[in-house]
Amino acid sequence: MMLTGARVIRTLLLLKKPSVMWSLLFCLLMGPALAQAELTIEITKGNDKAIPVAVVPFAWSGSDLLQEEIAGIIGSDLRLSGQFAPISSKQFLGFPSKADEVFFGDWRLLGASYVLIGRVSEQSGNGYVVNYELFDVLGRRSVLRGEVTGSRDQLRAMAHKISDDVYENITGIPGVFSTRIVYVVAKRHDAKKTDYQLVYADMDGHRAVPILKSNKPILAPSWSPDGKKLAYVSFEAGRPAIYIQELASGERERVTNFPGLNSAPKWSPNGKKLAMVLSKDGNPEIYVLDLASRQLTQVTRHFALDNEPAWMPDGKSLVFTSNRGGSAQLYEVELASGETKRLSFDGKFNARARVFPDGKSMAFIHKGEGEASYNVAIQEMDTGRIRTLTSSPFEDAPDVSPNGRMLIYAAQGDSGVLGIISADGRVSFRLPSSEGDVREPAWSPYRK
Amino acid sequence: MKFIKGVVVGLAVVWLAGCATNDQMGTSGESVIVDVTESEMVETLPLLDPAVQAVLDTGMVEASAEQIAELLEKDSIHFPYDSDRLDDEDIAVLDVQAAYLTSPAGINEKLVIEGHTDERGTRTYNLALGERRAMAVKNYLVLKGVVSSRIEVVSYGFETPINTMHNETAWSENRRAVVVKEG
Repeated sequence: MMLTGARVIRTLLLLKKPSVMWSLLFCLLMGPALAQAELTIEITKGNDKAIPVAVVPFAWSGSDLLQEEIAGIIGSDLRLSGQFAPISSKQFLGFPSKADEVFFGDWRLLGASYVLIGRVSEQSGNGYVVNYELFDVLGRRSVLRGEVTGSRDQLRAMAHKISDDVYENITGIPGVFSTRIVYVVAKRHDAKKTDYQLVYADMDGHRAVPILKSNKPILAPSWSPDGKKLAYVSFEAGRPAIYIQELASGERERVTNFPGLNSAPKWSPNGKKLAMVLSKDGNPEIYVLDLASRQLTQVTRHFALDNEPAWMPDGKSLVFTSNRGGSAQLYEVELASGETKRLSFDGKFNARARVFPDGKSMAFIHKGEGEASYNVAIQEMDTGRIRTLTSSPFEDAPDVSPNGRMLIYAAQGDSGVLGIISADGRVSFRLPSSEGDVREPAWSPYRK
Repeated sequence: MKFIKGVVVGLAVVWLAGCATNDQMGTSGESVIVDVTESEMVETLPLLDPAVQAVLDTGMVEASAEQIAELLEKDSIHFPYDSDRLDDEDIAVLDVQAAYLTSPAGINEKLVIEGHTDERGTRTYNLALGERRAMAVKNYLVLKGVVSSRIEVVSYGFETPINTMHNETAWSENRRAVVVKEG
């Protein structure tokens, strides 16, 4: 089948009928690209204010099938942001791959605000060059031109890089399509046996690879701010302990293994410290570990349960969960003074906060007064105003994208899935897995 | 003891010698084997579980042997939603456990107390809540004289539910602390 497809394309290349050729190429290449994904994206809610954009299938002058369909990946990235609505290529009147082939009138007719075109060519050796150009349809002008290079297995990464550039050019905000996520997949065989994997993937769920396999629970992964390491909780020694794993080498270290709880590690913004929860003295309290000196500083001292630390972007205070007021609520403690104030007042359960990169709001799990479900909510730090973003019954582990525009979270139930939602709540996606119960997502920092 | 009421004599002599505290036994003296055909005339009782006997011997618990046996059997303590509070029923169970663990029969036992929660809330919150539940049980046992170093606590949070359904029944079954004796 694939070989036949390749012959068809080669034949068409000789005939030089670009429009037919590229739509065929598009169709043929989307197949294998989707089949590789472990997580598949389902749109649960759309955005009628999204910017219409036409991503034209990129021209390819090589002799074999391209592994990845660049334009398809870019279109899917832009859709995932919630801020763009890619127009179906079936409506296209032409398939330009060069600036002088772009007829603005045609694109205006389709309602496109922007058109992205590009060409893929093979370099000497095993490399590829992708040239792309973005046009503002109403302004009738080119607004961005660029080139990315890479090897065959970097084609997806190259597509994500173009998505980042396009997104930033139009919105003024850096894109996060080149970022990664980690999450935990649990496969329950029976009451006695469950397999766990910590999985590393592109933020769209593709290129998923396990980086830790265990027959004991894995929880609470946290990225180092340079994106090179992960801290997490693993039960592999029979009880929860905190580990740090270097992604590239897979090498790791057990950081804490005190009696009792060793949980909820969270890397400080400067990467030098790890906030965590320990119950070594009998009760769950927040601590900060200096990674270089290994000096441990106790932050909270309260007979209640203190838990789930999250750093403010300046690294000077921590937001944490405590039930000291009779129910789980969010508090902020300033590290230097120990001064503590309550942040959440609305509802019976507010926990597992993550502060946005600008420090102006936080995402957390919220159960409203008289409500039964646990949902992702965002609270503005200065006004205290809460917005609930989601609606499935048992949600957990919200994490914020490095540009603050999207959130990832786990939706539990008969089978756990991951959800991605725009911070304005307008667009949401589910990333259901074929492989078992998916939970505990963490969004990487920008890739350097 | 009421089970020797009546005419059983000889047969019982050999057979019950070990646990006889009965005056009749001592005085009857003859070791004649009698063929008892009317079996309804005997009533037998199993020997007391040594653990139950040990608890009785401490004099710490005011309960019948049957009640003690039943309480000793219970290895799980259940909790209300988002709570680590022990109620009267739990206290009754733990009093018996503590009596056993401080008795000569149980003094060498080491324990692991597991803390568990239902699925609601966040996994990391539940891990800490499970810890608090297990600690509540440990603290009570220590208060009752069990040496702290004999008890290990481990929380599994919601990671190992016994009922994987999503309803009130499952939630209440999963909100538990389990006392595991390690011998």
